[in-house]
Amino acid sequence: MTTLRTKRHQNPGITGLDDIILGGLYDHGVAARLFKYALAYKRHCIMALIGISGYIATMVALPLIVGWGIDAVVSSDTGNGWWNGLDAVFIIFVINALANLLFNYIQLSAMASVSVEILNDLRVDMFDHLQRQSTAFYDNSEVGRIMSRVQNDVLQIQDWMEMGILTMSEMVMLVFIAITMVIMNPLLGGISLAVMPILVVSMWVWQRYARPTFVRVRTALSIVNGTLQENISGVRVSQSMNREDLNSSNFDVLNKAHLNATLKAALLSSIMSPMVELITVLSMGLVSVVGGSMVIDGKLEVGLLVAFLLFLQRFFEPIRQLAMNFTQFQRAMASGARIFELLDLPPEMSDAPNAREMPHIKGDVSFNNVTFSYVPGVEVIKDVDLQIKAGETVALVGLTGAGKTTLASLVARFYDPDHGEILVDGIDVRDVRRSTLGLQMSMVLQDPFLYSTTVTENIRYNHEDVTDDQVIDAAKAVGAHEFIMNLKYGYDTVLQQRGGNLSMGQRQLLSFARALVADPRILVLDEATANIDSQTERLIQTALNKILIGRTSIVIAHRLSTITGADRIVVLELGKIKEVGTHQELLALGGIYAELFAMNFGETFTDADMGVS
Amino acid sequence: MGPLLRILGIIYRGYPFRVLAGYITVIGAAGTALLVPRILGNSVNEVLDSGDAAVSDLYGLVLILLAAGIGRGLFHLGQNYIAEGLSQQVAYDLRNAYFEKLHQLSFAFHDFQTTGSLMSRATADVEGIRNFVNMGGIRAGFVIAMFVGITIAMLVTDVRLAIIGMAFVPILAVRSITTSVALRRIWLRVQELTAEMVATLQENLIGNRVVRAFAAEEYEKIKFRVAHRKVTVQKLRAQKRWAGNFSTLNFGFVFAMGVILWLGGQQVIDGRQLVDGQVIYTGLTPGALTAFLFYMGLLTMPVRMLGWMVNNASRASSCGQRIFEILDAESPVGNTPHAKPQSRVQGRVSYENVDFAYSGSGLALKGVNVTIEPGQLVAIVGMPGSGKTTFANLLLRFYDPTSGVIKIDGINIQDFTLASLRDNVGIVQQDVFIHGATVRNNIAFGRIEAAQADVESAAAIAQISGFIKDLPEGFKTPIGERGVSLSGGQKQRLSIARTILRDPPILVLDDSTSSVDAYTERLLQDALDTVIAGRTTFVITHRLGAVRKADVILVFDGGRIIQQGNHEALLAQEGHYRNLYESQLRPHEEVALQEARLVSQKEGNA
Repeated sequence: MTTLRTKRHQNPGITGLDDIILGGLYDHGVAARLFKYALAYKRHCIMALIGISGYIATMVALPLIVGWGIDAVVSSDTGNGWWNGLDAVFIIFVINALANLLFNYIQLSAMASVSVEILNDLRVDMFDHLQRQSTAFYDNSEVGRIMSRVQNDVLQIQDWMEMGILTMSEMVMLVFIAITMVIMNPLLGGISLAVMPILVVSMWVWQRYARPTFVRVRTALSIVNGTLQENISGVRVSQSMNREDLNSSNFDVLNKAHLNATLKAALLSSIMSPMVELITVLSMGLVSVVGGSMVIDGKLEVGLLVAFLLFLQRFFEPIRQLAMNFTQFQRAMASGARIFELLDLPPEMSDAPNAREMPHIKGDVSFNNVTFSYVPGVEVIKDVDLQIKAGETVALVGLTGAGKTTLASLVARFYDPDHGEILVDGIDVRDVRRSTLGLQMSMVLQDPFLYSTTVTENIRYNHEDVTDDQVIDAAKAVGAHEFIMNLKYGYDTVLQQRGGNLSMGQRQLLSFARALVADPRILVLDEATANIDSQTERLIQTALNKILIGRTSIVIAHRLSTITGADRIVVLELGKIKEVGTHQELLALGGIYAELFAMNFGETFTDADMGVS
Repeated sequence: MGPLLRILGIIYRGYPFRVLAGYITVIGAAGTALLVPRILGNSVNEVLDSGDAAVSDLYGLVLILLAAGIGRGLFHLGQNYIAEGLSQQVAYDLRNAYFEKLHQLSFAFHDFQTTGSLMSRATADVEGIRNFVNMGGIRAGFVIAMFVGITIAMLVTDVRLAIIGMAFVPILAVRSITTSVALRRIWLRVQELTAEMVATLQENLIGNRVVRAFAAEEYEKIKFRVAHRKVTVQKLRAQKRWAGNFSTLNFGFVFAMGVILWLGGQQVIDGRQLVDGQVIYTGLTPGALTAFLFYMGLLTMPVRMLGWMVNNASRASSCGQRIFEILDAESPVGNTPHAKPQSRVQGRVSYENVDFAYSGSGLALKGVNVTIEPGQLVAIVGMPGSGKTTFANLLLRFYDPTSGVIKIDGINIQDFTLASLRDNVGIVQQDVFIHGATVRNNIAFGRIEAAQADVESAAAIAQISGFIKDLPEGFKTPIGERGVSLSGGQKQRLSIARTILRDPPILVLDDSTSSVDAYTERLLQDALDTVIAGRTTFVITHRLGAVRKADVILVFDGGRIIQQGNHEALLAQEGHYRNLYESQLRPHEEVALQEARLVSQKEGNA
């Protein structure tokens, strides 16, 4: 158990497989797991199979019926009456065509449903799994990369399933057509198939050669887009430094490289057409000569010759498609590997199997001998012992890297400690279900994260039972009501992404309201460092004083001037508690806190001391 | 329609020979494709001609067949290559033009754009236009040539049967087009819903700490499920519709083939006569019937392509609109006709009656008048939104004043070329942009040819040498997205180094939103001291240290300079500066002073 916990913080995130563009042509592990997803839709799968088989059968029958019709036409037995063999052929033809329509529809819609549903399931599973990852995972993984797995890689898989199955069914059809041809006329069938190896071999050679080119196109395009994005973000700096021309010529080089890669790829993929064309007419020509002479000798019905030619018209197309889709298959396998890598990450934040419900808490928090490291061997928190009584306000102070935020994060169970325990009301936080503890505590983060939904929904976040009136009360309590009412639609105003249409201070107030609505017993507050105007700052101070009343509060202080009133100040240095006491006590102590305090205002302190101003 | 004509104009005017070559290959490909059914039909007739039938007659036909096949293949290759190549060329041109345009457009444009939407124009919209060049520009010719060719070929063979065969075409074509249009509508809906789903995902990931802090995982899961299910439902709708359309279209062709076989077959039988014990066909020959059947097969592709093309054109039309809108945008800021490159200035800056309004809002600067002497340090203070950053941005002509004049060394800045103005005025902006490159190239961003010694000394002045030395590869360490990530204070000092390297006689430091800890603040303070030497420097700041050192403090409120003077002078006056000092600057100082006294007292007692 202990080793498992230590491992947790080594979380490497999901950086491993991102640069791999192509996997193998077929990765059994990936395919087998996708198959399991497909099994959830047995009915659709069976329908798809029925559809495919029926479609193949009717497609193979079609040229034969046409050939039969031609025979009926040229046969001297066919009379001119109102009913003749041709009419019978037509009826059979129509029945076959209707069956073909039906099977084709079944095949296409069943396959589409399965692939869309699997896509849905894969994404939902990935999302769920991401919720079970700890903060350590997010610390080490770029959001863009996770997004790309959930979005693009899953789309690759969907394409692969749709196209893969279609290509497969075309290949099966090809086999059936070949068999039919050989059965109908072994000689002509043999001649038709004789040219096939030439095509297969040349396609194989072609794809070996073409593959790197296609990969180069993709890489070149992603470089072009990446450069473009970076330059758009940096356009203001570029303009201020006269970099426009240099940027443009740098971009042109990359853009040109992409153009050249695409031209090469275009040539390579165009080359396939004459190859298939040549093989097709070659086989048609051979069949015409050999079959034609057999007809002349009376050894073959002309209808069958026409049927053979119809078969051959599109016979080689699937092989071309297979060669074209080769890279697509390999890309899908690489995507599949990335998806399952993510799904296979050990779920870090799942509750212990015997986790119980956290009863209503008073809010005592104690750290007993807590040690924690993000990277094994580098302890960020060392043997911390700290008892916080219910209702107490404790400020954490220290330089960047002292472990303030980490220590506070441990209470919220962003991470679990390597050693030691954290108790709330005497209960180890690891022994209770996270959700039942989480509902009784709140955390206000430095960067107040807001969602692109209404103000009300942002405040109510995760507490569906909270009424609109309670939302308004909370907003009033923190002093946010006034500015909310000034928004275009008041509480129903939809915020822009990350609250872009609000000032930093307003966002901060909304996040306070959110914390208040949750009515937590324990509140962890990472003080905002961003510059806010003095009026909002006063509002925030007043709001804070209201929120802190009657709750256990842990405040991470970045500006020492704001926490002088805390019940206790805990000074951390390199992960260890160095000093504990009130503001006055610590200043009197003349230790780290006093020094920090002096440094915070160093400029004025020395100036004043020297009597300069 | 406008954007489509413009795209066609671009290719016809820009690449007339390629387009011509494209159309030649298109006609060649259609022509040779049409030959094949005819040859096959003739072979059928040949073998049925029981009179003097000889295998040798077939050889000629087969040779023509091979020639036609090879010809068709080569024309196809030409068509594909030319169409794809031309479309990529146009995409390349558009990307370059777009890139340059974005660099020309001033802040007034960029203020209203997000990187995401500009990127989607460069990717999705350029791709939409590219596809249209390929499909609408070149391949449309193939579709037309095939339709015309097949119609003529069928009419020449048999008028009645041709009319029957072609009768199916409009029905199927209309169906193919209407379904495509309907599908496009559903897919647009899918895109909208996908964007919402992606936003939910992204917010969940970026806000993961909020989710964890509130133990809101279950809530988020439900949110995502709902958002994704909406996408799935629309996708299923689209796929079902597509499956229905695709299979009925297929059926249409198969059925048409059946009808041709039936009616045409009847015609053959009706015209069949036995002369001298030999069968001769006075009406339709079996070979012609065979050719007809193959023609119907050839029609499938062009009809299907019609649907794609309509879609493609409507997509390209909106894509083109979005791209051209930007390419046609006029930057309000540019070189004036009488602008000249100016050499290094001394650094006297004056604003004369300057007003400025952002588009669509009230005045952000009102009647600003101020003159700064060379080498002075100017601190700019005021509440957020009081016009401090706007004041600075006008000096580099990121925007032009609505009225009034800004002069440097007595010359209107509009008489500087933009390049020479920005060589003379350096700015360290609020948002620091880190380029995904090495530390060295980030510092040399504005002077890429700078000597290593210069880069190192700029880094030293900006107090970031120590940090760089500790990096694994020193100046060669990659930073930014795929490299080492920097803290806010490190980024800011890097940005200072970058500007210092250009050694501008006038320097603007926008420091108004920075948030750094005490240690970093000290470093920045030290950097400032070394940087200002010998330059006219403007510092937008809330740090008392900088304010106090300034030769001139400009106090902004509501877009006006309401007070100016040095610290002592302003503090002596009743007014805004004193209030600001009391509420924002002084509390820090006061607390420190008190505590200092307290400590010294206690130490004295002890």
